[in-house]
Amino acid sequence: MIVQPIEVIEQVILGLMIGGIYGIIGVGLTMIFGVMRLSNFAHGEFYMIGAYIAFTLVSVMGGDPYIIAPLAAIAVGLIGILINKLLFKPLYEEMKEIKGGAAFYFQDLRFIMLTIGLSILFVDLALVLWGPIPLSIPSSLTEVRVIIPGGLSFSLARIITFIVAVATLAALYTFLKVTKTGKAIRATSQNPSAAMLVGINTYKIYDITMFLSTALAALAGCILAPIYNVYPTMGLDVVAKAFVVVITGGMGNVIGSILAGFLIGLAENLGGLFLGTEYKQVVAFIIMIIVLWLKPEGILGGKK
Amino acid sequence: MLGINRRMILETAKYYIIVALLLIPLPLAGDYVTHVAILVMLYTITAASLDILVGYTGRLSLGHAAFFAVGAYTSTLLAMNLGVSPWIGIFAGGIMASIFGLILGIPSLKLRGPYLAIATLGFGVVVWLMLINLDWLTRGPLGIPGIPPLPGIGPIDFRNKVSFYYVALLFTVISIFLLHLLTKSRAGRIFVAIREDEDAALSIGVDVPLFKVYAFLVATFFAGISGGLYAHYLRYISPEISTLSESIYMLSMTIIGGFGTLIGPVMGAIVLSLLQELLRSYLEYRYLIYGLLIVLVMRFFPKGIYGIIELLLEKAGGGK
Repeated sequence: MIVQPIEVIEQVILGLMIGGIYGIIGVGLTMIFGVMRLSNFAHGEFYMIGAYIAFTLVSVMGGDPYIIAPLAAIAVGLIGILINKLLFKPLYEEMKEIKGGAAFYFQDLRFIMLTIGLSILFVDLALVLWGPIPLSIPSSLTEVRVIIPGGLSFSLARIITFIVAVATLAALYTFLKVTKTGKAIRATSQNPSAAMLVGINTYKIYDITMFLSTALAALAGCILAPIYNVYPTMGLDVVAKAFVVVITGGMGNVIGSILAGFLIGLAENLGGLFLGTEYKQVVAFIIMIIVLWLKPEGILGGKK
Repeated sequence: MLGINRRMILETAKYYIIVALLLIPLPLAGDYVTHVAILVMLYTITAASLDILVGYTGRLSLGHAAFFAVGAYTSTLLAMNLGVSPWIGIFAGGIMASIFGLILGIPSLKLRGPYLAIATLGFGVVVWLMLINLDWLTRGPLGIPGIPPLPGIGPIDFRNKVSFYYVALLFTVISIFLLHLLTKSRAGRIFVAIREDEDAALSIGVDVPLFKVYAFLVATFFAGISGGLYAHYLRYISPEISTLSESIYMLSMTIIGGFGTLIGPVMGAIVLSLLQELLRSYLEYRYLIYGLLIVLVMRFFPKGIYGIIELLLEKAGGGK
């Protein structure tokens, strides 16, 4: 098989475009891990619910999914806060009293199992509410094709998706760096007890983190929905990859996750081109295994 | 040396013989019950083996179904391509699953908590993709139909559900018995020491990496054995048996049952399998209930079914 240079360029661009989405999903997951010490296996389900809410809003109100997206993201973010208040917060309060060597392990295990249960529950809930058949959200933007010099063309939807992804990541980064709330989130992530000492209400920070993380996942689901279909198990296909992104970037490391998102997107598309599309899925896991082996603290080497 | 003596073995064996004897008349309840009982027993072996890893050694695995599948495919391919007797193939499948266990267990020695969970998850996905993509060997997503049954012994034909039931019963009782002895032995106590505090175990001279790998070897071996039995019972396998949701199903048996108790995962396997059967007519809502159950158990009863029973017994026993 001879690979044309133009194909490589095409795959690089497509890889960067999907990489932006991986970045958004990965950043949310890594923030939850960094701030709350929680591996959220239900993260993909917020992505899925976001897409379904966008579908429902579009079919009820009309309009374009790209305009509806922020609304759906906020709705899912509120669900995230609700789950935090109902399920996670009581567990944290309980955990405070437990001491002993294996306590961390039990805490991990309990949260991992709890979020796995949530994930199973949400997938079936979507199945009951919206049915198993993949739905598509029509957008006028998918039909417009933009031709770039060199004979390549991409749909406007993909380009807008990429722009939204990059803008969102930039906005999030600025929020974390500049605002007072953002600083409080970073402080909690670095040292929860010291953050509490200087007067940060960590439970409130947990709420904000859950909101941001789930809303970002939902946003990714909304803006991808016109390009791909919406179906109940779409979150499961994404969550494993999101974890790969998070580990490659270093767990809890926001910048690392953004870079890792682009890296995995690129590697996947180029791997699909050179090794055959059936091995596209494996590439991400191979990268993760190499990172875990050689640099378990992530590609940026533990710097935050 | 092993930390167990003959008296302990005999005393433990007593209970297993009683349970086995009690379960002998079960096939009288009909074909359907026998069929369900066989599947429950195969899951019991898998859930109990996973408990060695998750419950005793504190090594979370989200890829256990991969080893079940490796056992099933190894035994099947040996029987169909090389004509190896499934009686030998089942054990070869267990050994092959252990080899895969080494491939995962050694590089992941340093990983803990969520890192290990994701690494095992990734390993499971890679095995699943291999089974799908190596179609010259595994026939890909279509799966392998027409797997030979266990060869009969004398007049006993193992295509018959009732005869197979006794094979499964024998394998299950012996497997759980061996795992039980393991947890009582010196190795079992070292597993718990690693779970409770790895650094402390290391500082008193325990070869932590060795015992972590040992736990992986044992857990994957029994998963492989149960996979082999599954293949020669249903006589059809497909990559579906190695998916993440299968791994999660096995893990939820172990954890809902009560991890680190061995008998808990056995109860978990029974309860969850029966729940699946009972909810068969509410197909749509099945996973809704199953997911909700996991959430509720983890929220309110982290020690699982075993913990609930323990609590009830304590209350019944008065203010002890």
